Amino acid sequence: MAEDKKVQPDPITTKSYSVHLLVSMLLLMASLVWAVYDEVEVMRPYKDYQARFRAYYQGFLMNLRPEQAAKEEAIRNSAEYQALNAELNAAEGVVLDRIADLDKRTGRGVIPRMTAARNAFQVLRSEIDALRYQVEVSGDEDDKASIREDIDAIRARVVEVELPLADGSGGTEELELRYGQLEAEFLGMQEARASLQAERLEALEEANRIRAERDALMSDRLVGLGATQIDGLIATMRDFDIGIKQIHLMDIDLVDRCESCHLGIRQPVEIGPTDLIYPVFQSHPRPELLAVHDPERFGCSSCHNGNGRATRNVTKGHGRHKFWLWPMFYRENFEAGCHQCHSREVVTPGGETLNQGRELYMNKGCWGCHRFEGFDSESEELTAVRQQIRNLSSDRDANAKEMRVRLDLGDTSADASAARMHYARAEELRLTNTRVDAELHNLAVEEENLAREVKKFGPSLKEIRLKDRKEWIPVWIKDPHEFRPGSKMPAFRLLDEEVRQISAYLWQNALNGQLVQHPRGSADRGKELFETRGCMGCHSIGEGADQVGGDFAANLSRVGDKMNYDYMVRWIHDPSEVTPDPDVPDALRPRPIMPSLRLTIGEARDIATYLSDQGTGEEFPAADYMDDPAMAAAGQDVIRHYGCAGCHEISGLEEEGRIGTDLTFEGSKPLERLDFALKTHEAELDGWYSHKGFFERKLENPAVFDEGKEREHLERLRMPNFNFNESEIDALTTFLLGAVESTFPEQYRYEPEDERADVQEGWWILTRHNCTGCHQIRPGNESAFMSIPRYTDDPDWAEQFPPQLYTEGARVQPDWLTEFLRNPALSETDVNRNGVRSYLHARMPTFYFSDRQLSKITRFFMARDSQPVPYMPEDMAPLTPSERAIGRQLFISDAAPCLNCHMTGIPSQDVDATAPNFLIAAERLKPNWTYRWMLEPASIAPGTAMPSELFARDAGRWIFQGDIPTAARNYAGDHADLITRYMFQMDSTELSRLQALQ
Amino acid sequence: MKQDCAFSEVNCVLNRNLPAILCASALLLAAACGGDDYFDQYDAKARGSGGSGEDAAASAGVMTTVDPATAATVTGMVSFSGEIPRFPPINMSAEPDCVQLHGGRVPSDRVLVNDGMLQDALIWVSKGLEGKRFPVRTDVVNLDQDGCIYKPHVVAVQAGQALNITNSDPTTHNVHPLPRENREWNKSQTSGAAAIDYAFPRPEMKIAVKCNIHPWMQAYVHVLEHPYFAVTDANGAFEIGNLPPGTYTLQAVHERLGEQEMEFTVGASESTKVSFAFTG
Repeated sequence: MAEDKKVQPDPITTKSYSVHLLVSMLLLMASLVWAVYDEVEVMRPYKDYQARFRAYYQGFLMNLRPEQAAKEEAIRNSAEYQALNAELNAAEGVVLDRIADLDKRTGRGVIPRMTAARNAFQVLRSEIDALRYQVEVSGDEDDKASIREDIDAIRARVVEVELPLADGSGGTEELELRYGQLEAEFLGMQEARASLQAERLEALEEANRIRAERDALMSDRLVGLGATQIDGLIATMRDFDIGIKQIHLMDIDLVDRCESCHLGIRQPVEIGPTDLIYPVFQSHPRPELLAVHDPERFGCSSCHNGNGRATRNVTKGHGRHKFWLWPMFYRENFEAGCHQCHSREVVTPGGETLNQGRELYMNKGCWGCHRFEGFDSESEELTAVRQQIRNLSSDRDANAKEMRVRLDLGDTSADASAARMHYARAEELRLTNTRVDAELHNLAVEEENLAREVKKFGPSLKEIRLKDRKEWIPVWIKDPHEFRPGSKMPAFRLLDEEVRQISAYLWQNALNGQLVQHPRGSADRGKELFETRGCMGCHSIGEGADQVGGDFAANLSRVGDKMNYDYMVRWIHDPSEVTPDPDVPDALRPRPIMPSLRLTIGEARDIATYLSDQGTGEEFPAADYMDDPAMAAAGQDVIRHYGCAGCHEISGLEEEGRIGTDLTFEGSKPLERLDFALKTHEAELDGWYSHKGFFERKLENPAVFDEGKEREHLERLRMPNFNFNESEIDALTTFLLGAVESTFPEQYRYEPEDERADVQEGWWILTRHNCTGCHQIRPGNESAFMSIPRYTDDPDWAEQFPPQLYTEGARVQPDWLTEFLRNPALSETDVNRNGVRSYLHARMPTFYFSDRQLSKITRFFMARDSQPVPYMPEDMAPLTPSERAIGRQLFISDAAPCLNCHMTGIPSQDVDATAPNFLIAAERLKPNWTYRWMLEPASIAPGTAMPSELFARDAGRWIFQGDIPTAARNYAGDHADLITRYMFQMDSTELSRLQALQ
Repeated sequence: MKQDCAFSEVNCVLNRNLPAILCASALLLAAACGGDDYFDQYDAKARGSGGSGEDAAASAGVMTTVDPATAATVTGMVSFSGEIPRFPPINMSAEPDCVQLHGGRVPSDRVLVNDGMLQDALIWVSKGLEGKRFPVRTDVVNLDQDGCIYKPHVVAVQAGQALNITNSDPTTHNVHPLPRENREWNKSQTSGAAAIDYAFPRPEMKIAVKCNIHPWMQAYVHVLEHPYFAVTDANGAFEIGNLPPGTYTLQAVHERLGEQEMEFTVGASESTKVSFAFTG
């Protein structure tokens, strides 16, 4: 027990814990070291980036320097530079003595004398100022008077000063001067200095001008930086401080530290992806975009997304992990960032992928099912206008009613003043209604315009009885891509029964009518017309590698297998001709998107004959069920379910709305609201659980998120398959990723109110009507014509391209343009022609534009070239008789081969013409543009047949090169100006005189 | 030891888990030291993909000088049999000045066959010179506008070699090449004006040259990347000299009749004959 009683040893005193403590201490030390290391190094990986950048960039600059210095030296040694240098030396030499004299007089005469005078003057002035202050603070009038006397004494005091002589000879003179004289001396010298300086500047004016010219020559010729500038950069790198580089924008609470690693982004030297070994250091690949979106104002992540604040590692900075909602856009989608601020545009300069996405959205008919603000805005505007009309009409009725009541009250009122009040109120209401009437009239016009503009994406299915072969319809509906690969009509996942029901409904509800019977034309002539009249600006023919023509409208390789010949003739001849519909007046039937080429009925037959020969002659299975009323009855619901009426006009379903979701802000929809269904887990594992991943997979296979689901047929996803290719998927994904609800304040968004808005609006119409299928409107945009072999391979067809419209607004008068767009034949009777370029085989078609659209297109072209609307014609000096004679002589001289190419309106002359009719110049063109065109056609229309260098500079004016009449040579004025005026004052009398001379 | 724990739980926990804690901190430290491995990753990738710089150097080509002592020559003829494609005679009536220069009918210059021999065919070495660069030829090739016709109808130059375009006519022409790879230009050239000297910087076959004022005028310029080419003369003959010995493919090109190829081998200082036969 004694042992039991033995006190247990106190573990605290008996056991050594030094090991534990040591370990703990070491651990603590280690974590401290680790914490410091982590804070200083690991959390700041950009330090390594910056150290490397500093080293590599300096090396890069050192390598670059001799190269640039050699370039500079070469320019310095060039004859032109040397000549300017010699000129500069000579100019400086001439004034050298004068400058030396001026400098001597200024530096050794005027300035020392001024300083000396000022010093003496200031002594006196400070004495006076001190006394003045005493006067001001003194309360006693006597004191004041006595101090004033003191001041006068100082003013009268004669001071002896030694002033250097103003001529700069170095001599001095002793003068005795009073306060006032000193002041005058000082001010005089100040003036003298100013005038000497002015004289110096004037003397050096010529030399400075030459020096500026010489330096400009250097900066013009030198590509990249000069050696001095590179030295400056190297010096900056030597003083480079390692630390966070960030842009902070207070108003949108944006902090971007991207440039902590991407250090070369804004360097003035272009750094290629491997110039500094690692691509992270390269310059921004699109400096032109940075130039209009200064990072100091816009930041980086505002366009690119990603986590601008994160600096821990690449993944975090780029925001490409599941805890960051808006990961940085991948390269193929980076233009998505443009859309949030440029959402009013369908064409954003510089955003080609995004533009392609928007164009696809428009031209694949996505908006038939999915509303997207801006697309098909006409139908929304039409609804709004109709609502406004209803509101105003009911206001009007209410006003009329109140007016009647007031008049009654006035008539029956006993009190004269009360009667006056009622009458006045009635009067006011009557006037209000007059104003409402005017407003209603305008709205009615707008309604009519809009009704004309609203167009469904696909063709009207009311016409199919007359248009298509009955048995072909179910074959087509089953899988349009089977019949016509690349068709815009997508493939729905329909049961065979559904195909039959839809076909039956469409067939039985289509319009019945009579078609005029047409004889066959010539297929050969038809082929020639089809290939040259302009059909191929929109339509293509041939399949696979043989496909030629535009992809805006249908590929017609098998059109003969499906379409009725007589209908085809009618459609080609006049697309606006419709089969009468008992339910809808013709005026309110939507106009087709296909324009009229103003063909004769014979030409229409030829083309239709050629096209009806296109096909395989395949026979389709009989489809008697299409006449079964029960089938048709079931078809209506199927059609409604799949939203066919979103794109097509269908009898009985005119008022159907869109069945898809609104995609205007799809890109900012919370990710969990995108239904990945059973793919969620797979998407997370494979790293595509993102907006991009969803859009790409959905576009590639719209049924992908049905996979594995147990669903009834009608519960399955309805979006049809468009067979988009990879680049189309990228473009559409880019567009959808960019479709976000912008969080930026208004001043960041590009929503101009001035004429730039006209440009934005115009592009919608131009894109919708495929103007770029025939015309080049933006540099780099290739028209469908540019892929037609005939036009590219045969030099004789080089002048047959439809005109480029790069500077259309500067070229033509707005009123003329409007009229031309309304009627490109420029004639009410002679319509089977081009009004301006009748020599072109391709024809400018007549579109069914509303007045509103005509005005918008005109304003688009004017705004794009900064032309004021309305156009105020320039004053043009009338031709004197002698000028007219000289102009005439010039016009037919060899030096001015105008009449070899240009039309004159005289048929014998116009047979060989290859250029526009200058008789209509006065009403069509702007004189200023015409003048510039003659001098430099290639800078206005690259590739034009109009030759450059027709004129040479001579004695301050442009004269024709080559053999010109003596009168013209002696004419003191500018020949290009004279010819412009001659053209603009040309009339038929003058033209016949010209002809007689020729 | 159990009792120990009763007194000092912290120590106990520490004791038991010491190895685990140490490991964890070591791991943490390692992870932290790893930091941002952008540069390592990039280097590894670059090593994997190999040197792309060498390919670039190869495509630029090696400047080659030919030893005149061993230089070879290839000569030959281009014949044409069958029906000659017919083109209507040129109608110059729109330009009386031009009509005067010809005593009546002006035959077309599109396909010229004399005694069964094809004129204006380009003959060039299409294969066998890959990876070699040659100095630019210094001889000047002339394209004259004479009688409102381009003479000759076909010219060939090396990229960078000067083409000298003259106007011998009493009227104004404009010279308008329609290239696809080169820069397009269009200049007027009055009668007696100075020659236009222009060197096409990029190789490109079949550049049509037009005069828009006289739309019947057409010439073709072939721009080649090396100096081994010739255009057949009125007798259908050609000669290409100063060729390094070797095996080559020779191609005959006529802008309307198509292309033909022929392989040949030529030894040092040898001369060989290659003939082409086009049929109508």
